[in-house]
Amino acid sequence: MKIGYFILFFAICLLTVSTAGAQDVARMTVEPQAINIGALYNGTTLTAKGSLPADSEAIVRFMGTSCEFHMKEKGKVGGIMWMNLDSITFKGAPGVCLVSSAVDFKRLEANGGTSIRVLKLSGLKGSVQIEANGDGHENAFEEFLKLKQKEGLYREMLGNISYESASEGQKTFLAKIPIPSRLSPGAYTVELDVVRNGEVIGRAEQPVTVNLVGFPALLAGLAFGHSALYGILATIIALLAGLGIGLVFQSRGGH
Amino acid sequence: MSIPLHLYLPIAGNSVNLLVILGLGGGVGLLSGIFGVGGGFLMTPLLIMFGIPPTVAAASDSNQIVGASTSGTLAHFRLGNVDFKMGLILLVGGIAGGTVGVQIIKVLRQLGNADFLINLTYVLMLGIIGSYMFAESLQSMRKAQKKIHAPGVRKESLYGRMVKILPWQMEFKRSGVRVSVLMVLILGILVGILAAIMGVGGGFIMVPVMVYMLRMPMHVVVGTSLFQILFTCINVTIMQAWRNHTVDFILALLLLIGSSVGAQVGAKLGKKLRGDQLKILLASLVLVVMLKMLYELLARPEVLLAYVGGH
Repeated sequence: MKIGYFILFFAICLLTVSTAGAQDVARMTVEPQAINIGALYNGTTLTAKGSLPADSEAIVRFMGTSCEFHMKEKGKVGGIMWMNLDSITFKGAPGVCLVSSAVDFKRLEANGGTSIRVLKLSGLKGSVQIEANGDGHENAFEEFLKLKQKEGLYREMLGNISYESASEGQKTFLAKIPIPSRLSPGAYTVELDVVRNGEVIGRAEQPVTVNLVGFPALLAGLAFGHSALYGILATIIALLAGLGIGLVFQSRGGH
Repeated sequence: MSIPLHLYLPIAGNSVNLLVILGLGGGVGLLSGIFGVGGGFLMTPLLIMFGIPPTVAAASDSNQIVGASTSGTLAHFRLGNVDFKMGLILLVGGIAGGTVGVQIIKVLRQLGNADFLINLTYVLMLGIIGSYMFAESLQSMRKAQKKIHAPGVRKESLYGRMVKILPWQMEFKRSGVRVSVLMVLILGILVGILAAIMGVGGGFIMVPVMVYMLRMPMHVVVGTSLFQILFTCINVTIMQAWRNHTVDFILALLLLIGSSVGAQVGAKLGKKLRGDQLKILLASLVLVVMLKMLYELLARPEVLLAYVGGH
C-alpha cells in the first residue's frame, strides 16, 4: 500500500515538473488584456508577444468560451426546393476561434505529429458534439465551419506572427491578431502553442475580457434588464422622431 | 481628423457603417412613401445581408417602421389621403387575424415543415398579387388611352353587385366608397392571418386588398395602409423587445432617419404618379421580390445551416 502511495506521489511530482518545463519554454504577454466595446468600436488589433525556443514555431489562438449553437440544417424538399429542415445542435464549439501562424500549417504538419492538427479549425471537430435527429448529417461540422468563417468569427491566418533574432537559444515573437467587430462581451483566451518537429512542446495562455462600456452598456442593460420599458421607449422615440421629421418637411413648405 | 463612420450595435452584437444603414433606410423609405408598404419584406433581407442577425433585423425593422409610417401617415394626412374610419376597422380585423395567425404558426411548427409552408405562402401570395396587379394595371392603362377616343358606359361586375347586397353597409367618405363593415372586418382578419404567418406587417397584401376588394382610390389606399401599419408595428416592437430582446434601437433609429426622409420624398413623388402607374410599379416590385425568393428556394445555398429564428 505504501509503495502504491509512493508511486502516485512520484508520478504527480514528475507531471508537475514536466508542466512547469513546458511553461518555461513558452512565455507570452497580451496587450490589451481587456477590450472595451464603446459606441465607436469597429474591431481592434490584439498584440501577443513573448519568447520561445529558437528552433520552434509559434501558433497563437484567440478563443471564445464554448457554447451551444442551435441551428436548422437545410435540405431539399421533393427534390426541388431548399428548406430549413432538421434541427441540429453543436455543443462545445468556441464562439470565436482565430488561429495565427508564421508558417503554413502543412509545413508544420509535414514533420509528423497529430497534436498540431487539433490546433487548426478542422481540429475542433474532435471537441464539438453534434446532436441531430435522423441520419445524413455527415457534413454538418464542415458546414458549421463554413458558416462561422463567413461570419468572420473563425479564421486561420498566415504571416501575422513575426520573429526577432535569437539569442541564448530563445527567440522572441510578435503576433498581431485582428479582432472582428462582431464580438460579444465575455471571457476569451489567447493561447500560445510552441511547436517543434510536428509536436507541441510548450504552452502558455493569457485571459482577455471583452466588456461593453458607455452607451452600448447602458442600452444593453436596459434592453435585457427592463425589456418592457425598453420596448415602450423605443416605440415612443420612433413615433416622436417620425413626427419630428414630418414637421420639418412641413415647415420647409411640404405642401 | 477623420469622421467615425462605424457604430457598434449592442443588441445586434456587430458594428455597422453609418452611411450604409442610412442609405438602406432612405431607399426602402422612398418605396414605403410611394406605395404605402412598410418595406419589411425588403429591409429585413437587406439587413441580414449586411451581417445583422435575422431575428434582430426583423424586430429592429418593425421599430423603424413605427417612425417611418408615422412620418408617411403625417405626409399623406396633410394631402388628405388617410381614411381613418376604414383604417381603424381594418386594424381591428388585422389584430384579431394576427392573433389567429400566431396560433396557426404554432400548430404548423409542431407538425414540422412550417418554414416550407411559410416560404411557399410567400411565393404564391407575391406571385398571385404581383401578376394580377401587373396585368390589371396594364389593362387599365390601355383602356384609359382607348377611352380618350371612344368613351362608353361601364357595366357593373358581378363582384360589384354582390358587395352591394351585403349587410351593414357604411359610407366611407374619404375613400368615396360604400361597403359592408362586415366585409372590411373579414378582409382585415384574413390579411392579419397571412401577415402573422409570413411574419410581416402585411402592407403589400393590404394594398391590393384595398384597391381590388374595397375599390378604394390608390392615393387613399397608400395613406390608409401606412396608418394601419403604424399600429401593427407598435405592437410587434413592444412584444419583440419585451419577450425576445431582439430590438436594436440604435439600428432602428439610424434606419428611421434614412427612411423618414425617404418616406416624405416618396409621398411627394407618389402624388406625381397616376394610380395605374403606382400600381404597375408596386406590382413589378412585388414580382421581383417573388422571383428572388423563388431563386433562393431553388438554388443550392452557400451554407447548409441557418440559426434558429432566421428566415
